[in-house]
Amino acid sequence: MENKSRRDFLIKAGVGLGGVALSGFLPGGGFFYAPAEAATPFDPLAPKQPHFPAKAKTVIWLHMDGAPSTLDLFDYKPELVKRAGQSVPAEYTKGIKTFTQGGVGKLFVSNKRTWKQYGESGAWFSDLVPNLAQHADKIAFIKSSVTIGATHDISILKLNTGDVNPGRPSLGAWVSYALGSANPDLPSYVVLYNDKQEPRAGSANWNSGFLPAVYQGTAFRPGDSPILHLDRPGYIAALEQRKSLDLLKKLNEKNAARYPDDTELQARIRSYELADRMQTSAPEAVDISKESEATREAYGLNDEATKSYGTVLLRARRLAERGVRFIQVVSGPAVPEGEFRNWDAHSKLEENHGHNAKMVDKPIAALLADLKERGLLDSTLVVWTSEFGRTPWGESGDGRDHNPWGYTQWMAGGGVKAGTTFGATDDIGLQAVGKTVDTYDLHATVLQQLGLDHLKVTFLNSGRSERPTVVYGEVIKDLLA
Amino acid sequence: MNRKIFHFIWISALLSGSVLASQVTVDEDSMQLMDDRNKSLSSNIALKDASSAKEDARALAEMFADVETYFAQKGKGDAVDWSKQSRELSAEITRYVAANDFDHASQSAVTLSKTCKACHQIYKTED
Repeated sequence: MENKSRRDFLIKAGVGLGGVALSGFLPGGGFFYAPAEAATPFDPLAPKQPHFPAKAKTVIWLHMDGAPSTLDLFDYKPELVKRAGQSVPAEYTKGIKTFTQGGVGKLFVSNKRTWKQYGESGAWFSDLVPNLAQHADKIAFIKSSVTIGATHDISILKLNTGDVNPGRPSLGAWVSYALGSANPDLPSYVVLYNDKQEPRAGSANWNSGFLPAVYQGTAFRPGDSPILHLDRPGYIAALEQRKSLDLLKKLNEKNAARYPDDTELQARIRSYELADRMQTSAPEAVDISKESEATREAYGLNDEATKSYGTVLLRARRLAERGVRFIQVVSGPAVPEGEFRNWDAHSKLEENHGHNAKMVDKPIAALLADLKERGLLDSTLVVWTSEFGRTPWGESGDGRDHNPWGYTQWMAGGGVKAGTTFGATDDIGLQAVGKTVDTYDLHATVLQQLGLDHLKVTFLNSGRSERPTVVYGEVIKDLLA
Repeated sequence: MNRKIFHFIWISALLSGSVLASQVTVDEDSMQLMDDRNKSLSSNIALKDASSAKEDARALAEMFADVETYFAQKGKGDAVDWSKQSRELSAEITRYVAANDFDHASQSAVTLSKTCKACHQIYKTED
């Protein structure tokens, strides 16, 4: 195989880290509107300068798996309460195709739902999120979110990658690619989840797509040993591993001296060194045993209902402190082995959301408070998001169907306009009215806070310049301080 | 062919000088072609490839004119407006590219894509 095509193969396969760097020297490789070049051309994760001064250094992306009913959390609709039990008036469904599985039922509200306004902003919160409500003035709500409504898998893929078909890089991968790593001893993009199994649709939601594989997310499992393959296999002694690595390094360096232009080889040497460093730094980064009792209590680690999610959020804070760029947290089941795997309440909404809201409310509130206390909230962008919302009409008598036409997401910290609300849904909470915010707009806004112009974060793939927001994306300036 | 359709085509032919003018069809294949062109336009603007971007914008303007005719025939006023707006945006992009103003061309291309999306929201799955 000739050298050029071998390099090409390695770049595409994401095997040769040097190939990644090499792509920066090829026409159209890397950034077309390049931020400052990496400190060394052989390290694809070396820090890169943003396009303009960043407001946020880190993103904590809280994905509420299964799609909560934001009509039962943040989007108070007195008109819906008034009309509960009635058919949906035709004027509300104008312009949408109600193809969702349950059909259009009667308008539904839970008779247990109560609402109050909080903070100086007077934002509405339901009885399901009393702890989060205390942080009303830190939050910028997006109440006119829209997306493509399909199956959970497809809409989750769009939420994370901007497309309904697999193969595009996730937002975290784009961030890694654009900014590199702020901590050479840790992955720049980490995925956390509080389930025994990987989140729905798995690694397609944190992979690097057509970007080199070095930019994909590293999934940390819940439990005491969250990093897969980090520990030395039991049958290899520490000294044996050290000697093997030293020999490998010696051989590689020998070859590198013979072929000084072979960037893949130099990058490979570096990648082994990174792995070696990670073996000591990563376990410390996720070790919450050193956290104070007060912190553990605040995150809900002393309560079975909040312990698993609280643990991953506390880890998220520790990773944010240590310079991880993008931390994607996927919510897991509120009751292990229980009926409610996630927020997907086609039936028994009250019970489902009771469990799920309890699982996340206290830990998320603690995360916001903790970040603020440590002076990290200004530089950490917390994004609360889901694949879609839920309908104002009922399904199965006491649940709600999927709603991609209008739902709430929110952001806090990282330079957003705290204590504000952007956009709205109609009187019954079915469709967004006025200016909508699609996934691409959310991505463009997140990138903006990281100092990146989404139109200029580009990568040449099969001759085409690709960007995180596909062919869409608008920064929602009203959300920014 | 029934008599009514025959008369419609014949009158159209008289008015336009061509039978083809009354037979504009927009199907899934032509929409896919437009989608591909739009992605190509976006890419060529990012690559600052002025001549390819201009060619993409020209081809899109031509296709949007057909879409406009198609929806006018169907009496769908909102879709006609979106098609017209898209045609105008294609022309605007051409002007920006000609002036080497790729930043504004990029922003107009985003608006163009959003306009397509707004129309698809209503008409994409309609037979």
